[in-house]
Amino acid sequence: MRLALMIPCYIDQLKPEVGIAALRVLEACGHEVVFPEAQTCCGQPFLTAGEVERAKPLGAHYIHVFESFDFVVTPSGSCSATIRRHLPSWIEGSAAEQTAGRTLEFCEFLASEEGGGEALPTGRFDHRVGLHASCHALRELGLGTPTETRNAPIADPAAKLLSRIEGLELVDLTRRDECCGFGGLFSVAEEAVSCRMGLDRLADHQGARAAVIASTDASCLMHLEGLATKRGMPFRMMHVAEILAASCLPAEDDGSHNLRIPVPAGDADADARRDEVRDGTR
Amino acid sequence: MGHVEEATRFVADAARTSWHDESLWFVRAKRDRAADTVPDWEALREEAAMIKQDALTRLPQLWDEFETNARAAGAVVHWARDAEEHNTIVSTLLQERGIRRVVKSKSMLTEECHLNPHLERHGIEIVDTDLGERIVQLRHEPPSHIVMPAIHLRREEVGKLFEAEMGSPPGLVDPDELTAIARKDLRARFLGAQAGLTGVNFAVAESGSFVVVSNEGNADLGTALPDLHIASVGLEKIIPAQRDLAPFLRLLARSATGQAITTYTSHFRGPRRAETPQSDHAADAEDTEDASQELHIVVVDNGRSRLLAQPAYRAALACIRCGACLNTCPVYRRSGGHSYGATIPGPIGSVLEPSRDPAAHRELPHACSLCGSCSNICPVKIPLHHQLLTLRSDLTAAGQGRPSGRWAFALAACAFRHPRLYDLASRLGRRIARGLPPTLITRLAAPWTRERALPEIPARSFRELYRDRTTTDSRRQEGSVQR
Amino acid sequence: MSAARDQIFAALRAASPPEGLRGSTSKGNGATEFSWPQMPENAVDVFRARVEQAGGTFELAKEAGWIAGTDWALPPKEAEHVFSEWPDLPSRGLGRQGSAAAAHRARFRNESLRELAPLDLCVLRGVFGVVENGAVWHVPANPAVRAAALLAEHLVIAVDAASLVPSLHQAYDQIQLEAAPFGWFLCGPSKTADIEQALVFGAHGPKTMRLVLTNASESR
Repeated sequence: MRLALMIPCYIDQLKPEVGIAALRVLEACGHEVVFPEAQTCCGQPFLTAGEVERAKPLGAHYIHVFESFDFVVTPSGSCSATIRRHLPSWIEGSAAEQTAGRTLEFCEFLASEEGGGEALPTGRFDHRVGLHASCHALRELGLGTPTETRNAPIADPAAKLLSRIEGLELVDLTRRDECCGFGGLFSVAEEAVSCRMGLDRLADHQGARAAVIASTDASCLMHLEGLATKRGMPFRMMHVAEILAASCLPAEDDGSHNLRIPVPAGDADADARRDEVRDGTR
Repeated sequence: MGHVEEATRFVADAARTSWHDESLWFVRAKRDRAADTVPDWEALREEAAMIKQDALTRLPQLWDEFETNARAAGAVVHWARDAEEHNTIVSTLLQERGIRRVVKSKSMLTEECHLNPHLERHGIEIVDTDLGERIVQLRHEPPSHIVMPAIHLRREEVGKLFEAEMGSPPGLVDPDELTAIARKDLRARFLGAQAGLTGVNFAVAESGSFVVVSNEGNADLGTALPDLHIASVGLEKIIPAQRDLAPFLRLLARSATGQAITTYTSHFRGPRRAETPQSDHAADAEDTEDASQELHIVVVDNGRSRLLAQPAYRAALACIRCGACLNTCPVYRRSGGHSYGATIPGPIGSVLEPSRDPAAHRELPHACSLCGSCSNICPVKIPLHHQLLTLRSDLTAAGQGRPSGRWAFALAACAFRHPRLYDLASRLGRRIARGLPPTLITRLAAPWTRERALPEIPARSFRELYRDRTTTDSRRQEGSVQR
Repeated sequence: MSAARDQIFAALRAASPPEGLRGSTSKGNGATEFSWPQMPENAVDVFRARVEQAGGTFELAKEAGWIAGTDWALPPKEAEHVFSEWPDLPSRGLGRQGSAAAAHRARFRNESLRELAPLDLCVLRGVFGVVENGAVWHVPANPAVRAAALLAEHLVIAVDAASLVPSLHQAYDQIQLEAAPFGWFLCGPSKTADIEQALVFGAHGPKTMRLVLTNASESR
């Protein structure tokens, strides 16, 4: 099985450790992983900015780079949703459809028959984790059951993978699938609302006493991290791949998984902080 | 001011934003519980969506059928190409009868047509009778929500308004007491009204009848007394058969407010008809003077046929105005209805309004984080967030795209098309960024950095790390615990 | 036909998708795999719960004597102005002349409808009840009934237990609107939540609504 790793441009440039973690986990599951260096961008920023004509050549480039692989795995719900849901409408032909259909989100792939995620050692991670739902993993790729729908429940592969880890406690959120407000260009175009949405998510995680916020999208996490850091909120943002790598695999000597995660604040503290977040929005 | 500016102003009041968000989330939660009581909820949505999509493929036939049946039942059917024609038809009907005082129940179509100012210019007093609509009418502002027009207001603000407009005691804030005051004021207006204006929730082709729903009973009381009833209806409101009402009425109130059904679901077929007096009762001669009502139905296009012609957006005409997409929208909840600067705010408004007036509303498709909650909640399965996404590029193609930053996208797209250029440019960019003083980067990266810290910029990109990794065999071995 | 009508129809014809692209013709409930809800075993309990959720009060009664037995928000004896569709509870005290004459005239004359404004109590006879939402289908026999149901402070609707249908689907199977110009589903008292989402009864119409399910013992 030929497996390609697709690394979104923002992970490539700003969060390479997420890509490394994904790579290590996939390899640990027994896959031979290729990172085709000619890859660039899935086209999503152009699509969402209303520049679909500029996204189309990138779609063609994507097919050119990835069409020979059995699977394309990417640690991003959002980028895989762009490829799966939109690329086939940009470019005619079976190559587009097939390449798009073989593009899977990282957790989705691991939880699938071919993914071999169960081969991972169980691992240990003694932290309270809030799983931030990626809107696109949830509502575009159908990885989980959105709160709006009344279809038969679908298991969220990210939650499934995390729940195997000993000591890891997934916290209950008040609004488990509310958008964090990143939304790509939205995060700067509608900066005020975007930040307010993010702060409300942080307050929810804080109320649930999460120490780590995990997600299948590093872009959501970057937005949340920016908000939390600016306010000195003691969250650690981790892509699901990073948690898997940190807990299930032996540490690499670069020290990238040297986790320093603060103990979650007590209830009273959490409430006080939540109020602070709400009131101090601007 | 556009959505961005209005939303920024809204969010600046953090406490009020929390309150607005929670109020609407409360309605969303009620909707969730109501949906739980219907075992086949998703199948019911599918059923409703199919009935609408089918109806939208044969509007001429259905409206022809409706007109024939409505006329047979004694109604008069008028046709209006646009808002102005609609308003003229209504004001002419009123003026011909010397009518000076009318009551109107909630109708987003008459909002869209700006009927109130038109009638006022013609010296006709028009009173919105839905409590929320009455409140915003007295405040001289548009509704901020299509189902809950005054959802943006606090009780204190309503108290002050009623004190000024209805002479209520100062400091009154209790919703029960405030509603009682409005009831008394409006009751007099109902009794004095010479005509009742309503919207239409569903028009039924096979019977020439139409349905109006309300909780307050204002549409009902407004039409139960006066001699004239004028109903305004958009072209998209037609459904083929009476039995088709069932799926829509099962979905509508549950989606809108979490109720199983509204208090009143009124079916009008032709005008109100007085009973024919029987000879043994006809003691006084007056009784024989038939005083039945007149019913006029004004069917309005106002851009709907144009939307119908666009396959990408046609499905939006299925909207039953339940407001569920507003309640679930994380942006609407945190920016308020008025920030959209449109008759219909929220996701559905952001689809409909730019199609009517692209230049005025080109910003709206971008007032969305593309989370997709609206599409999932829509009882008639309009793919709202995908339509908003498509609309962004269609507006760009029509020269109505985002005004700024296009050059940046052009440059980025160029780099992304050339992997070596991308690699080079990004390496260079990161190096420069790492060398600059943090305060300067923060300034350069605004508006990201106003509320957010920038991520630390790593020395090496993933692809650089990957190259190192693949050249160091030992690490590769170590990385794989399987073998 | 008007120019506006012609133009609208031409625009609609031009905009409608060609025959081949159309979805399946509406067969109402036949278009999808959707099935109608069946009557629940505890139909009366569900119906009652829905009525109460809508802000109404509920009572089970035997046909004979339900008027004497029911727990009125406003007992008819104390009500000055009563409008009733039930022969054993005659309308009374209406209008300027202080008699039922107004109610009688309002059946024929619009002007007299407004004389029903001071109504204290309106008592209606429902056609059937809908279990899934607690609504009752009612067809006013004349304009006076419709106005009375909206103008009265208190509303009582009695409906036969044997009439219950599971859902709106079965309801519309029964409704024959050709016979009357107007019919409605009624569910609970008039209400609003337009001030800060606070639920208030009696927005414009009745402040209380009592649902009496008659002949209940036999049907259960």
